[in-house]
Amino acid sequence: MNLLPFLVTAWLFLAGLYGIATSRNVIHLVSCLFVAQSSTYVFLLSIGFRRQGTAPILDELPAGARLVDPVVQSLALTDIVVGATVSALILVFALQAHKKSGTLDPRRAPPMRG
Amino acid sequence: MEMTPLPVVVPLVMAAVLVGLEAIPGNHRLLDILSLATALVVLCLDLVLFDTALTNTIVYWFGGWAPMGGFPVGIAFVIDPAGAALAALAALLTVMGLLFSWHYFRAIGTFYHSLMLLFLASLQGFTLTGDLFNMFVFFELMGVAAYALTGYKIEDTGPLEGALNFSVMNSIGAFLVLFGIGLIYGRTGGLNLAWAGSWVAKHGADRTLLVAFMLLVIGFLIKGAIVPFHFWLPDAHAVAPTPASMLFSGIMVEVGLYAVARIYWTVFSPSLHFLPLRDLLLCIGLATSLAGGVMACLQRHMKRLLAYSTVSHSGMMLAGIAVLDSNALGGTLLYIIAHGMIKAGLFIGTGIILYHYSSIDEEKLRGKGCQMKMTAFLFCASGLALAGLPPFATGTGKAIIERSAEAAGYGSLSAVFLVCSGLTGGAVLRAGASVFFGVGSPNFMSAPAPTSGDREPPETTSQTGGTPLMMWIPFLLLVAGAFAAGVAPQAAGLAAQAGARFTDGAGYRAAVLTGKESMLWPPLPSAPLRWESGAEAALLAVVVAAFFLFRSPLPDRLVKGLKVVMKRGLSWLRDIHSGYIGDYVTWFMIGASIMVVIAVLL
Amino acid sequence: MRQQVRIILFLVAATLFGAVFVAAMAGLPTFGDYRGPYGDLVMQTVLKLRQAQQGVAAVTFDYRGFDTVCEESILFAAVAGAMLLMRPQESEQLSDASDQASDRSLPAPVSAVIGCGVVMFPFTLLLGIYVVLHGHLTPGGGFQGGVLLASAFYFVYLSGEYADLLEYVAGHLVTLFKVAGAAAFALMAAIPTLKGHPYMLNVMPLGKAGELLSAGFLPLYNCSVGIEVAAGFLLLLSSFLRQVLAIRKRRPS
Repeated sequence: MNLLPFLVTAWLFLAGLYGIATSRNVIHLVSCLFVAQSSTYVFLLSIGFRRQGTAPILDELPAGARLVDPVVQSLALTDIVVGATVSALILVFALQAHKKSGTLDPRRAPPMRG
Repeated sequence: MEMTPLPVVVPLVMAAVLVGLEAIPGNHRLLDILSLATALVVLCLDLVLFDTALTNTIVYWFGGWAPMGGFPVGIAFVIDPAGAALAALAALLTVMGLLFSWHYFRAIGTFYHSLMLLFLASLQGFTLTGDLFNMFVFFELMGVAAYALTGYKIEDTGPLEGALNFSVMNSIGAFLVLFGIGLIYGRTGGLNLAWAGSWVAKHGADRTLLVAFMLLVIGFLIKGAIVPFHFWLPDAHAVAPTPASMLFSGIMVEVGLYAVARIYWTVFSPSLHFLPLRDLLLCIGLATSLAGGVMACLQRHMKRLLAYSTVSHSGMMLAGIAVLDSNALGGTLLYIIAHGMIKAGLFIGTGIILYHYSSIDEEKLRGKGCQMKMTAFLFCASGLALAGLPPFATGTGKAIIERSAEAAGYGSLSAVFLVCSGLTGGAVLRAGASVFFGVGSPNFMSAPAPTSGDREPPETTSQTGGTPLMMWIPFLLLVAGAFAAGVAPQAAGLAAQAGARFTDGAGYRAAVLTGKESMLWPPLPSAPLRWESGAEAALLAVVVAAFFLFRSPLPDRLVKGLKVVMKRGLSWLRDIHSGYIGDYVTWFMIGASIMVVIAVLL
Repeated sequence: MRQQVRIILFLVAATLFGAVFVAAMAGLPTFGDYRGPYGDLVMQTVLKLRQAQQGVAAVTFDYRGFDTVCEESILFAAVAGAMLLMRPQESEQLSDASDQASDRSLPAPVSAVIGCGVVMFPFTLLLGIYVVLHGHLTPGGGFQGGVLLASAFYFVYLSGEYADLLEYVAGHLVTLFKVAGAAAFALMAAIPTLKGHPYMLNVMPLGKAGELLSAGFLPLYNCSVGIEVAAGFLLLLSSFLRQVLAIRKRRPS
């Protein structure tokens, strides 16, 4: 049970990478990258978790309440923004490349190799 | 110092302002001038910071959040001479890139300047910060600006595919960095490098922290293009617009290595097993430099050739860091600066060729460039400087690294350096001789390259008359800069001091956490520098170039046999650089798994 | 590499990597037992020093505010980069955003969808403004509220036509909003430096915790981030839509 969030982290990360390694469609590839990215959210949030902890907001708290870590939540927020923007950019690459080559398959003979 | 955050804040604000100015029609000169001025201001600020940092490590707490009871709750910029020098190099290359693009992008001109400034800001922040997560944020900003710049030429599939490979691989690297940061945060409770370092110094590094260290190393080595994580680099650097390529090869790859060194010395240096790590990093560094050198010789696409030479030199820099010695680190710093200037200059050279002929295919351009006397001279001089010909600072830096390596018992490093310098320098000289002097004929190694570089999308609207002044002036300045850095008598001393301050982890931690100054004067090594090694490498480069360009004096049968044997290996080497992201991720996984297993065994 | 070889190599390497990675994570403090001290130190000081009650917002915009300045620049760079890359190629031109399929007629807009959009648009807009303004008091903030603000305009697109949305995004107004949002944050943070204080020092009057105007700069930062995020996502949306709907291959003339 204590290992569960960490197992989920590793599973999400590796499953995402597996998807990238075998992907036949760039849109699918970007989704897989996002799956891998979500492992970092799980990881960060689970580090700062506290059993029976409540949100780190000091409004009307009962005395002696346990609070979860606000720092990792802030880090995860940054991470989410980064992930969303990067995937928007990669989708643009896919879109323009599709217009030029007519396919979304990353396995086609690439223009740069060797 | 009050001006400490300005190298980051000024370009960030100016980038936003320039986007606002895009709306005014017919203003591209205004954008050019403003962006150039911004980069110049940043350069001056960096030089002032460097000067100040020479006497004292600058610690600047954002928001006034100085450590509370010894625990850093805010973000700090911690500036030592090495970080400031790299920041200054980034600003210098940006200035040169913007000068070069004076004649560029007149037709499109959208957001180019803003992205260059954002890229500059990210490089500044990355080299100046003393906080792990802040490093990650700048890493991502660097990435996002770089991906967009890579894909700039949407008229061609090459840039788009290159940008895709680049962004996916670097994002994976960023995840690993984040995992490493998370593990360090969970274990030590802080995100500040100095805090984590003092925690590790007190409690020692257990398995979790070792894996965290290795994850950070892998993540940053993806940026640093180290085998087997280097595949994205030639795809991206070869297709980006010339000014972007200058920055990518000249400084972006190097800051990945900088991060590895920074984290090792500030956090892990007292408690990590020294020798296995040194051997591991030396091995992959030297393997990278060999692979990059050979691949550079196999190219006819001139920018791709330069990109592979960057891979090779990045490996040499990692080897320089991996000696784990303050003098070697100083030498590496000097080498990074000189290499950055020379490589940026060479990219300007290919940019000038592209400007004139809309092609950067060595075979197709053979003999076309006979008119370009100035470019030819600078290009060939840069080729020799790349090999390390004294008195260029590349030679000085390399000689310092070799001396320290020999003192540490790694004499074989010099031999590998010699071969790699010869191969990359030779490849550049060969391309220069073909294009500018028309010598030689298609050779069996580079002519069959699948990527030719013919019919590249042009970067300018018109190309009439000679080379514009604004194109070759930055080239000249960069080559002269590398020369001056080698001739100046203080350069080696400054490098040694920067290296000593950088490797003084305890002093760094004390400066950040308690504000204590620790003045440290480096012990100057007694052994003299072997200047000849640079000359030998340059000579080897000439021989390699001649081998490709002229009929070899060996008997025909021997040459034929050699060709058959080499073709096998070379075609395999070519095949694994397949340009397909699935392969790259698989190579990454293999390399990463081996490295984390080694981390556990350390 | 052949696909099968690649899969086998990947799986072997991934198993190794995963095993080491999980073993490393097992060395962290037990799940649910966060030990601090960073988060605890923040929560102990945030009320006293900053009159703020929302820990995450205080970390995001004050303790680690410099991260957020850079993070906002990442968003800025990504939107600028996406717009740069989505300019029409040389072989393309802008045309009317009309359905160009010749074999089917334009479907009439469904009144239920329009009705939903009309109801949802002001409501979402208002919710977005609320979330931005109360970012330093309740869960939420500039980033979350900005996304809500942008999604209000998605309802315009869903319930009407692309042209309706274009009216909102027309001209350079949204770009200017985005620029203003990005620049305002970095410039506001620079105000303390004029008096010789460190960058990002919270020099605004702090007010009293729990009130709308409290915690110094936090509400202002939230607003500028909210504006930038909303404008950025709106620009992204309209650029992607323009790609699909309005940019066509240039007809051979």
